Amino acid sequence: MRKSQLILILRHLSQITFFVLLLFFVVGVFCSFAFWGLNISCPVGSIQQIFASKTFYIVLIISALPLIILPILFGRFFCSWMCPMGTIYEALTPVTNRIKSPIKLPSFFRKQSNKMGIALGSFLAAGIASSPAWCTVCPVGAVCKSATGCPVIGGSVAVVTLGLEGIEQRAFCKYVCPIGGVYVALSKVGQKFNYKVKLPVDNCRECRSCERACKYGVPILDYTRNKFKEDPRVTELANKMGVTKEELLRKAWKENITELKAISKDYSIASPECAKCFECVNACPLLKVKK
Amino acid sequence: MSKKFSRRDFLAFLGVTGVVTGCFAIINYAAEGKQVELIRPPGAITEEAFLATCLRCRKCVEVCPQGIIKTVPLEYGIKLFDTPYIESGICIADFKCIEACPSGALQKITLEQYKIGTVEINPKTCIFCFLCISVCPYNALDTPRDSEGKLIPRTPPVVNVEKCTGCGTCVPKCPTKPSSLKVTPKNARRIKVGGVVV
Repeated sequence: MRKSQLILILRHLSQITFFVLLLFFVVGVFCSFAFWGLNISCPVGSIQQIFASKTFYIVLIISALPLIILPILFGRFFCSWMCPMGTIYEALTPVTNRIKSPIKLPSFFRKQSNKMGIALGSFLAAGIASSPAWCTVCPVGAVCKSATGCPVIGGSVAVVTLGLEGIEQRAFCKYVCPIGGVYVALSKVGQKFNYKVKLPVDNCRECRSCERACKYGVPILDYTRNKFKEDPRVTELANKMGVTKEELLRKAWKENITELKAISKDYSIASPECAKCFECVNACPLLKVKK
Repeated sequence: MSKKFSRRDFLAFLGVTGVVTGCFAIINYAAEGKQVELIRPPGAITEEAFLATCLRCRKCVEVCPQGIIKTVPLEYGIKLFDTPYIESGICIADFKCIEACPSGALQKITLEQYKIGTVEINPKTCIFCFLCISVCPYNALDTPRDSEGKLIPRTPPVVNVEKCTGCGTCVPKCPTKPSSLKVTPKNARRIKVGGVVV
């Protein structure tokens, strides 16, 4: 089995485990749950609570730390490994893949910075209204809580986001969800050293299979292949070998050039938006052929 | 970064922030529902701070061994929506909800501080059987007596507001249907907090 397939299976297992455990077995929901005696709280809820109550509850802040530190180290992994809404969306992909929507979302909606704006907005609103503003409409929380009775507002928002899924896959995750927004911001903080997904840049054919597979709208080629082509070291290597850069890159398709491979190791999907779902690695036909 | 974050993008970001802040703040102020006092779980902090602090995570609802903690429906307004409250039932004061609470909305208390409400007796339906006196675990109910210590006839039991915790043990024991006893959130002991709380 290929490594990427193994990761995919692991990811689905993790999703199902978190979905089933948190809904039915573990005390609490994603807003806050107890895991082997350790309390883990949603950072969005915790930050809103600090803004709303103007009080620092040390216990709460400590319980929010795991989901603040992990995204700094591993990026926005939560969305594709743990989030219950993400699990539902992914379970629905066989259906949503077939829907060809005649309408398109408006351009002001399709901005990835919107989710950060919504996150900041709900923090400020929580401070003004002295109540966790986002939590009352949060569809992620509503899905988690549905085992003990689904909250009306959050449940209806969740249904609306399922409708959005028919127009554009993961539209809610990409443009609206403030939880994702906070994780993207945290992943940006640790961008220098956090975990990044790597693709075979040196013999990439630019087929864009990875970009089509990416559900989170990351321009993968802009981060990898296009940057790699501009690298001065590639030009230098081409000069040394006595060929033009285009010829060198073409040559790399057929034979293994170790120097080029060494340079390609520096390139990875360095986007904070990347949810570490490894769909791009799984979709890459090069990796499929080469085993 | 492939695409630079332009000034226009930044303005759009600020715009979204402003609109969201405004919308949420207006909704929270405008959609105020019925102004009611509710019986909160033991250890609850003062109502305003409670609404600001509670994460609405329903942990207390899940851990309650009696299953009496419910969440507030939408009719009570957005601010109160989904916060825990006790409508009816017997609280056995084992404080599992306080242990579970991650947010500090329910603070650690001793049994002496425990008071979620006070019981009230409806004198119109009371049949003076005094069954409630015998079941009260806190000895908060007593027979009505005058200054000489004589029993006053046709008078409901006297509630000692200091001793009564509002646990609701007496309510289902009442033989009248519906029960003549009712727990109200009056005189509930709510804790004041502020600043840094460990």
